[in-house]
Amino acid sequence: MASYYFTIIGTLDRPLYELEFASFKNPTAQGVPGKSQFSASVKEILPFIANSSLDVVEDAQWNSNQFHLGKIDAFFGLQVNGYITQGNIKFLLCYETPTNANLALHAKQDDTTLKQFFNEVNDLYVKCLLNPFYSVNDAITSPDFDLRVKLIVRKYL
Amino acid sequence: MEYPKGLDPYNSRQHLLHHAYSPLISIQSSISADTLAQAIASTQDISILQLFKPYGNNSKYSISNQVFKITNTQLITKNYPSFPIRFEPPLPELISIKSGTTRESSSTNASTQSVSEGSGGIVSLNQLFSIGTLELLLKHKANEASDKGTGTGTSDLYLGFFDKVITSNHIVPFETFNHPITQIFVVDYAQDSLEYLREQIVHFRNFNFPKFFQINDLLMHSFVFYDPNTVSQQEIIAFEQELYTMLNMNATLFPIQAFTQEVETISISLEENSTIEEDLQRISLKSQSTNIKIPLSVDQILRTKLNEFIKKYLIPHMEQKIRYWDDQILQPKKSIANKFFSASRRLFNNEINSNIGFNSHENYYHKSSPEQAIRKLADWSLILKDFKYAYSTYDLIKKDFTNDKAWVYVASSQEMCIVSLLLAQTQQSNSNLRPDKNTLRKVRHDIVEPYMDNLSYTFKSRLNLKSYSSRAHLVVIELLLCMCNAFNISWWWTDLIEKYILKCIAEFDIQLPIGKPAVTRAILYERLGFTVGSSIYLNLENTFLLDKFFDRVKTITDKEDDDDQEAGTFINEHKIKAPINATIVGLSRFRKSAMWYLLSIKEWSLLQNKHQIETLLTNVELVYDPKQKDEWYTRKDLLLGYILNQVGKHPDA
Repeated sequence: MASYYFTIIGTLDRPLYELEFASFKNPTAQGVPGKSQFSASVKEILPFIANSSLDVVEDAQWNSNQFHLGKIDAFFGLQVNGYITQGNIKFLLCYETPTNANLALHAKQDDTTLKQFFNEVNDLYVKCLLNPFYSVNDAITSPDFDLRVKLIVRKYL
Repeated sequence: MEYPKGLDPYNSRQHLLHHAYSPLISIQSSISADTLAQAIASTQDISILQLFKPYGNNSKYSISNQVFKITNTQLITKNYPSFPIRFEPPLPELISIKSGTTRESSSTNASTQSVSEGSGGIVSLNQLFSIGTLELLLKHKANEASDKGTGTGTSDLYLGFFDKVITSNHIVPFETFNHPITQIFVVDYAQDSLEYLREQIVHFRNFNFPKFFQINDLLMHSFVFYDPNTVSQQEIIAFEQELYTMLNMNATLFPIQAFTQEVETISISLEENSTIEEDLQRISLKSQSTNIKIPLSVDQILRTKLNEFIKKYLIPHMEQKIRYWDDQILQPKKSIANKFFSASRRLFNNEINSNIGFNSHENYYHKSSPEQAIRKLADWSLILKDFKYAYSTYDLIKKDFTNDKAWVYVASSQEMCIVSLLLAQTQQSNSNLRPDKNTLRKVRHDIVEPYMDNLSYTFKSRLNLKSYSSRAHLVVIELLLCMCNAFNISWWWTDLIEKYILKCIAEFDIQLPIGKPAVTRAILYERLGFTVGSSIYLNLENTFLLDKFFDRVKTITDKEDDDDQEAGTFINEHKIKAPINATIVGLSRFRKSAMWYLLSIKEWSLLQNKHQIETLLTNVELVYDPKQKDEWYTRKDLLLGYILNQVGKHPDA
């Protein structure tokens, strides 16, 4: 049951939306399904890890014509996947490296599922942008958006 | 704008040359000479060795117009402004101290390997330093700095750490930097006779030296102290000549009046070139001060005479030996005839002389074997700053070591291959010649990476000498940083440096108590922050873009009210502002560097060292400005918010 941290970062490097969660698949005895298991010392630096990988995102964006940039960074066993939208908004997903037991499973689902996940979140984000009361770089506080992201999470991760 | 602030890698390169790759001079003094030293410094607890030790660093304690001429094997002469030397106790003493500590530790620590247990002194391979004691020393230094509140910045702390890692006086067979080059006998003319000196020399020569140490390479020399008021010039010159004819030994004369009532004194630091143990001892014996006061006239004489000794005796001795070895051993080895015969010699060699060749049981080459001599030749030419020649020699001898399966020798010469190559590349004189892509590719993929992997395997798995591997990593990190700086080629090396620093941290973490904050970790994180922060992927002609970026940062932080336009002007509030780093998108790693600095700050905050936190915060300011209100990074559940609260700098407080 891997833990994830998902964040949307605006053009001025400020996080617009944050979500911590865990996979609903392969639930184990300990912990509630869907509740992240990051330790306190990791929790307090997660936004900084995401922010620091922006450097790499900005470098990687010139080398690829895809929006989904794949795995871009790693930090002490935390992997970072990135996605960049047309409007220079970045989606970042930090997750713990899976243990050996479910490594093979992860490798298989990894790239395609994450890509689909990012694409669907992007759809959601575009819908959010269409809202006349929302302007770029504002924090996304809509409960509906939150709910829908969680549904996508449940579907893919 | 300089960002990030940290230790200039050229500075650490300089320290590397001064403290690790400089000639080791062993000093033995008579009792009366020691008494004289005590009279000079007007303190009871000092010996001649301690008096001379700081003066070995002649870039710090120099004379005016100091120039050292060094001629290499190609007969090219170069001038150098300094040529530091290290003064240490005589070899028998060095060995006995080390073997004493080994015997003590071997009862508790099974990993220590005994190397040479001949009839002579026991020399064993044990760790260069213990990370536990280093941690203790660094903690003390950090606390000292924070008590003072000023002075020692974090860069000094890293330099201190680096110095301690590279400074050692361990005698090992596989590298000869710590084998003394000169043995000096210090005598007082008034008290000690020629006969006494002769006895000392005989006693010294009769010592049963380790089998890998060649005493014939040792230059015997004497320092004679005399009082110019009571002894005439002719008398002392006659003594010098007599010394030469009777004992075949040169002397340097020191006209010193010990008992002058001179008012003017100069303060000399005793901490020069000291090892971790010596420093800890000094700290535990709190009474000892770290400085001594020496009369100005004596100070001048010591400086000039040591300069004379280095120029007149030490450098010529080394040059002569190098030329001899080059001529007698290296050139015949390189010759084409040798290449033809070496195979047959190996096939038909019946090991007539068991002394020659590698002793795999005790892990050393005999002193008279050509391999040991060539290794010494390479080391000495590195000391004399002929890096290219040293590199080719290390590279040549490495093959022989591999054939003999002398793994520790292989690992050590691999380390020196990388070091000499990088030293040669980063020499100031050729700094305008940037190496091309193919050279860099070769250096990285054929030399640095495979050799480092190989040597860390040998040191760690084959011999359990983790500290040697850590030292090699730290040295290579600094030299690679130098190279990045010199040629502006960070994109070649930053990932490798990052990998090596993380390796070092992981290595040290194993040896430190689990779950506790450590100064070593904090320092290494900081260095990582510096490395990443100073890697800018811009061409030299485009560096002005970086200045533009800094200007932007400055104007934004200086004045928040950038809407001081004329009243009535229409302002579109929804217009997206260009990102701050618009000029260098993807070409810098400032945010990544800030992340590592934050981790370092976290360590310091757990160690409750406010001074270090405040110094390091200046390096984070560029990305996370703690003065800004309502920013995401000062949230109280995040690391930075928590730390700002701790030091009382939170903007909302």
